[in-house]
Amino acid sequence: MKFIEKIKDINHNLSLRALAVLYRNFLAWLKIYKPSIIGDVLEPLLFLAALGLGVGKFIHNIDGISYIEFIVPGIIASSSMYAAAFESTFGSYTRMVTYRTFEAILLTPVTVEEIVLGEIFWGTSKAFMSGIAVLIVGLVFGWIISPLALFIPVFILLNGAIFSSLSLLITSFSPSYDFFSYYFTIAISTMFLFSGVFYPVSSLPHILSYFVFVMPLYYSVHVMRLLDLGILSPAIFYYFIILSFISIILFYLTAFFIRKRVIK
Amino acid sequence: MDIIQIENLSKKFDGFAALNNVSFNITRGDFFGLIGPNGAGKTTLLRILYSMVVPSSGNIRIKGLDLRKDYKKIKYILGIVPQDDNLDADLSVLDNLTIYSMYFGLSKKESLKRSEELLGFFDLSDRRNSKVMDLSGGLRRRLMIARALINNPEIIMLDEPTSGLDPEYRHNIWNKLVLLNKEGSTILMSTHYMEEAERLFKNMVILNHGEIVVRGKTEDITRNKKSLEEIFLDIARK
Ligand SMILES: Nc1ncnc2c1ncn2[C@@H]1O[C@H](COP(=O)(O)OP(=O)(O)OP(=O)(O)O)[C@@H](O)[C@H]1O
Ligand SMILES: [Mg+2]
Repeated sequence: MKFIEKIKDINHNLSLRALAVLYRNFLAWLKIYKPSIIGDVLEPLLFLAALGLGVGKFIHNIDGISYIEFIVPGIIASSSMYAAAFESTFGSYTRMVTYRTFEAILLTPVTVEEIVLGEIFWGTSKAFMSGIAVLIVGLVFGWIISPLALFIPVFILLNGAIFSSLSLLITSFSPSYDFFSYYFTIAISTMFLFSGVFYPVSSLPHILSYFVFVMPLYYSVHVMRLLDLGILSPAIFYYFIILSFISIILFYLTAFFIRKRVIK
Repeated sequence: MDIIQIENLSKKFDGFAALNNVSFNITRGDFFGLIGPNGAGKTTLLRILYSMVVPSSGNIRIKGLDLRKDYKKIKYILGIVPQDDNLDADLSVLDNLTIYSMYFGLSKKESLKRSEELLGFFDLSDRRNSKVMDLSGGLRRRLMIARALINNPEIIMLDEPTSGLDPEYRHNIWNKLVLLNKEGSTILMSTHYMEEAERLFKNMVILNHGEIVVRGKTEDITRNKKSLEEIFLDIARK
């Protein structure tokens, strides 16, 4: 069982030292937080305003709620996806290749696996900031429907962890920054447009709706919308399990491939 | 017992042998030199010792610990200055040191004390809040060495730490290294400056094409023969 051995090796190399990596990224971010906040916080709010208020004017209700109410949970999920994806591709690649920060950290007792975990914690933190900002704006303007929405942050974290891991996995294979164009077009934009952020996926042609089920963002959007609508369905629990499972699998894959990339 | 023991070490990169069956030991307190032409394998050897490169075969023990198994424990006693600059460009001079000490698990208090000590030792105190990007090459190199000392390492490994520095900076770094060695640190260092090698190294190996061609005490290697520079050129021309 070589597979089990590998997992054991990875576990063996993990400790709370990963938090030092998270803290390092936070400290570096503090010096440039202004432009970063524009991208992670302001941009999703622009989407929300433009589509929710603009397009929303022509759509009087969708599943019984106003259009902006419909898209708020979707924008929470998609903005956290984007924040994690940007951080764990362009950001992590810069630290891994351009500035050799990973290499510098590896001169100390911190392991590759701890760097990976710290990077994912950081990508997830960025996702959290972005998603929470949208949630707060939704609350302030009264676009949030049920108090159950207060559980949405749990799923922002999970969604962030998934997209941060997935993006770091892509980074482990990436020969240059250009490579990320494929990822953003093929994976990220597709999920943004087809995961039920802007319309119920049931309105897609039947054949397309199958593809929806392989998109992690679909599950995040769906579960956040259930919570927002106050629908306490067992699906929430199942999705929690599924999304946690996906993020754990992605973490191990990413740890394995980043080690391959960094240690010759 | 020798603090570093290297036995039959080989490394192949896609079939190309960067190191071929290299064996030697380093005693505690030594100032040990690695010299050899470009591409001889010095950096590869050092990178293996600090676990950035996995050897194809061979055994390494550091302080009696097996590098393959106990590389995490070993990292606590190593101070490493790699050939290429990898200072944290996003952070200030002081933050470069304090963050580094977190990687070693130093407490906040210890970390600040140690960082200030090192800034003083390397005459960087008045630049503590500068961005790393704004430092000259010589100052960056000093910061690289300061960073490597944050954990009070027993063994210091430096890969061409003085290349590209003016004579004054170079002398300055020599003095610091000699002092550290006198205080008990074991030093393993590579260089292309033969004058530096003769002056600093107590023992050395000369590598060529991944193999050891000369080894011994510096004074024995140069005794009643040519200068180290001539010996080097003879080897490089072969
Ligand atoms: N990651 C790698 N992949 C392939 N080949 C490599 C790799 N690292 C080193 N080599 C090769 O191994 C040989 C030894 O390189 P190394 O960097 O150890 O030499 P060096 O003695 O440090 O040279 P220099 O004095 O120029 O720094 C070179 O031929 C180099 O091209
Ligand atoms: Mg070298």
